[in-house]
Amino acid sequence: MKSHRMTRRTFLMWSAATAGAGALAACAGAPPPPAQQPAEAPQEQPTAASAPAEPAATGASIEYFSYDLGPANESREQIADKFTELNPDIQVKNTFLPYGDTWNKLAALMAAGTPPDVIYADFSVVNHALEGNLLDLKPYFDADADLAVTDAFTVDLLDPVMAKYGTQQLYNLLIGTWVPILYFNMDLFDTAGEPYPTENWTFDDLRATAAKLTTADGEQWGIQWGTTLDQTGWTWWLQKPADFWAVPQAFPAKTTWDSPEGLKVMEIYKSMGLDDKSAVPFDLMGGFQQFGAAFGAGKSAMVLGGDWDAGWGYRDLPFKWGMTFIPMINEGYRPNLNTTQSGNVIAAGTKNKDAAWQYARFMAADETAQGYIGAAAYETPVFKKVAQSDAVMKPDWAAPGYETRVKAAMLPGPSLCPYPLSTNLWEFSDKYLDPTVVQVTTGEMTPQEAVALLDKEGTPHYQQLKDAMPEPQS
Amino acid sequence: MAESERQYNHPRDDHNPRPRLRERQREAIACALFITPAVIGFLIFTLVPLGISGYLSFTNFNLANTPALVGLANYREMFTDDLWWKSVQVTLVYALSVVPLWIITSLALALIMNQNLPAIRLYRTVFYLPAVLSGVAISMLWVWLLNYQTGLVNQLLKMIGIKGPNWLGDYNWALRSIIIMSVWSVGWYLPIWLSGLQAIPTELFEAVTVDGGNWWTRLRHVTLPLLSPVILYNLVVNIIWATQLFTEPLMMTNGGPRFATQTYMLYTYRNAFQYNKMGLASAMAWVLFVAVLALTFLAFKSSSMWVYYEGERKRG
Amino acid sequence: MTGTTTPARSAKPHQRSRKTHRRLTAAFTYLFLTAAGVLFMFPLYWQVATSLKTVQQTLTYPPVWIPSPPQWGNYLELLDRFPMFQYIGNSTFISLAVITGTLLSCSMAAYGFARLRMPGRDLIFVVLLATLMLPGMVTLIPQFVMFQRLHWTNTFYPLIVPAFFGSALYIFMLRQFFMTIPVELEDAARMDGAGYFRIYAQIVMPLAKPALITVAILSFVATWNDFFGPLIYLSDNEKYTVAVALRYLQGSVRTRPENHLLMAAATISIIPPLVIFFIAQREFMQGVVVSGVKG
Repeated sequence: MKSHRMTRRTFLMWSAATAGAGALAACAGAPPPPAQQPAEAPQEQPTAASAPAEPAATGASIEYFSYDLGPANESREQIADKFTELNPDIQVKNTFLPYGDTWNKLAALMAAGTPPDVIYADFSVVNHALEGNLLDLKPYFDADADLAVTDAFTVDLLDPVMAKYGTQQLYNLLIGTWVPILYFNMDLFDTAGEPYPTENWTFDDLRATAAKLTTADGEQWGIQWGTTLDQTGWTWWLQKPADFWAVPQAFPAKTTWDSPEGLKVMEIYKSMGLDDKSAVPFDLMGGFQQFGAAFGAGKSAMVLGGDWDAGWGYRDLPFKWGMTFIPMINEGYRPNLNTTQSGNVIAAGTKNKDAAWQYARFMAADETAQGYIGAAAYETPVFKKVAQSDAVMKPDWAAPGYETRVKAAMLPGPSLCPYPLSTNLWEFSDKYLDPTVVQVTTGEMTPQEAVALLDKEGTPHYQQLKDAMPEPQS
Repeated sequence: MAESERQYNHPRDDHNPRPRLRERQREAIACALFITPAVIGFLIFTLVPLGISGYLSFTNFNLANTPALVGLANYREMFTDDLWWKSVQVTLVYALSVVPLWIITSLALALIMNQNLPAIRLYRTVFYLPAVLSGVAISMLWVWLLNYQTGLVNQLLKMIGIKGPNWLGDYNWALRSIIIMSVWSVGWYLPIWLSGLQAIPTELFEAVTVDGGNWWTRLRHVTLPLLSPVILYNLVVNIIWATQLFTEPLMMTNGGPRFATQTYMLYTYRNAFQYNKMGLASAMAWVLFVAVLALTFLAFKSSSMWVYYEGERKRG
Repeated sequence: MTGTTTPARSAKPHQRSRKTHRRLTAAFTYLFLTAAGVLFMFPLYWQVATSLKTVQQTLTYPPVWIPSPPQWGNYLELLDRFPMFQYIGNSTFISLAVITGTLLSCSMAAYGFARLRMPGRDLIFVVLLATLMLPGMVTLIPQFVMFQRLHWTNTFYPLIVPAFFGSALYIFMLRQFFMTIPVELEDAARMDGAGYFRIYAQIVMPLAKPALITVAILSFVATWNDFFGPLIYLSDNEKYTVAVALRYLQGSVRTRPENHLLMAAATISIIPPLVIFFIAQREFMQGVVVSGVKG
């Protein structure tokens, strides 16, 4: 009996030791994510890049890696075909993955050392930018005189939101812009005899009208806080041109929440959520399965949403609707609208740097490619001439005010990043912003307490921001 | 584990009380050969990734960097994180509710289904159905069924004069709603129970019936003991599955309201792929791994007291 | 009336009451089963109904209960959007390969764990079982890197080959069933000079048919519905599976879910598992052979 026990115990120790050794050997033999060396400055100067008509590489094949864009996938196929037509030596393969799976697969591909070449980026790639897995596009950009012509584009083509702090490294070459929009259900406004929202509205106007459009039976609300106010869209609110969030910027003594504008945002939530009950309550939001939730179901007179819905999902809604600028927070203070931008990044590990750059450049600055992007109506093209064409401003299916998309994208002011690149915006809103807002709308917290808490030195949220920022440069 | 010890220390069988060592060795070699493919598969496809994830739990891996060792920092962060403790609580409540519910309802269903009634095959298929329906389609359907204002459930409750809760939107009801929904997929266990029940020799039932036993006696003294290996299986698998709950809260409530349905797995997933804290997520996975392993071990340890193996009867 | 009713030989009072009692039980059983069955069937009805609606009808409230006219065109649109036949072929191929591998490897391992003695056997078993508990999300990246090194990405190998090396879930299940098989049969065979493999192949396997079929069903459904593996390991669209098409139609923050097409794809995708279950369950009933050997 005893000897058997010993055998078993010995065996246990043995197997544990073997397992441990195996794991270590596996790690030593196969370091999981071989991160690419940061591309401090490309050794080979991208001379070919400045001459886009000439093929950069012969027989190259690049993969364009994107999340599923639904109907707009077609525009990507058109662009690839057109590009190959002009550059017969470069084949482009489009990959579209369902949104959530895109980033998982990208992480796996990066770790395996076989990244796709050009990646349609959003905030999900910032960790790759910070770790040097993406190609610094600044040298390519600087070598290309055509791209710096600011008059030709609605925004700076190189996106400062995707910049590494304290360096000049920029990763994202824009192809389009997104702006937040105030959508309104014209049928509900007509029934109530209320005038439609205008570009000059402030949030006080919004509040007054929303209250009138709310019914007591809980069947209709004035407003639904859409994408702009629920998740990351939130963070765009508190920036204005030329404030201290400019990139690169050292961490300030406090964040912008504890400011007149920050307080106003919280008061908006409280007044409409708690006092007037004119906003769709957060605990009911999940219940609307229709596209566009309560607004899509015709139960909310207005929604603050992203402009991509105007070109896509809202097109089929069974009521008349229009769109305009989101209201000013206070008289004369309009939040910066021009901040959520769509573009491409290039994996530092690509085997075809020049071909990849050429393709990214083609998407951003070629009139035909931009035309396809404009026609897809998912994002507003950055090429001004295309963006301002009737085909983009006034397509035959356009809702009243559709040109707001382009007008908002053209508002002056650089695009500024409200938070450091390494702040994970999903974690930030899941853990700090969303719970705070919910508590404000239920009356558990006053707007003053909310902004003070969000700004309070020593809170995890504040610490997270602070850690992510470089020390002030003296 | 315990049952093997019993086997191992007893003579092989009645016919041959003292087996020669050679035979025992031959048996061991045969055993090794039979389990070799599974062990190789385990070493290659599981142990290596498992070991690496264990290593990653001591690093700052963020899906993009070369992992650097950070000691116990991830474990420290986890144990001081309120949301982690909340997710532990959510998962415990879920598991403690759903495991007994699953076992009892699915066994009851299987006992009914095991009768030789006409058209029973059709009924079996019907009850098995939820197990094959797409989780996505089902989650969407439940979101609609449980809608506070327009959902079918609350409409029906209204007819009988009850004001239904905001099932998925209410802090106290959200997890309960997901538990209710989980019970509906008990059909998954149906084939397992049925094939277990079919293996019970019918003359044992007849013997009890002849002795004047009613259905309870039959259940208590024949069905349950003979089914106990299957019960052990379902118990262990249920515990494991209950701790892996992920898709439903992600699809139906996104972990809310206020983290009321943020299960352990959902929080692990968020840390891994949304917050880019793969090191922390690996640590969380390993803590869960060890905890469930311990539970499973307990289930096996205790199994010698209540699990009855027909094949062992003559040996012990 | 029902198969369980014993024909009454004589009409003694207590037998009649017993018969009535049985009839009542049967009636009650059917009532219960039908009521519960409707509850269980409803989602399927809803799924099929939604697959035959227009986009508008999927959104309206109160809901459209019976789509009229049924939009059979949704299925054509689905076929137009995805190479569904190709996907069904891929899903079928992968699922059948996985079933084959699972049945072979798991039954062998389970037999070893259930019947053959070896020092450390049960420790190995519990460790194997423990692998069920580690979530795939944290092993995803190491596993992907490994398959990449083997040059197996964009092939079916990562989806199929592991099945030939056993799966803890099914090994455990089969082990439990094997342990319920009376040992006398094997002893008799061994007296006749049968080796371990012959006992496994000719005695244990036939007896375990219901359990093997259960494993086949469960692994078929799991493989058939898995979208994550194909999405991660495959990069050519034409290699994708039915579950992947479902995933695309589900929509996300950026794309609108197409409920009518999603439900159409879901309806197509449940037909094979349901047919297989319906056919295979006959085998549960024929599996009552074990009893014959008692004595």
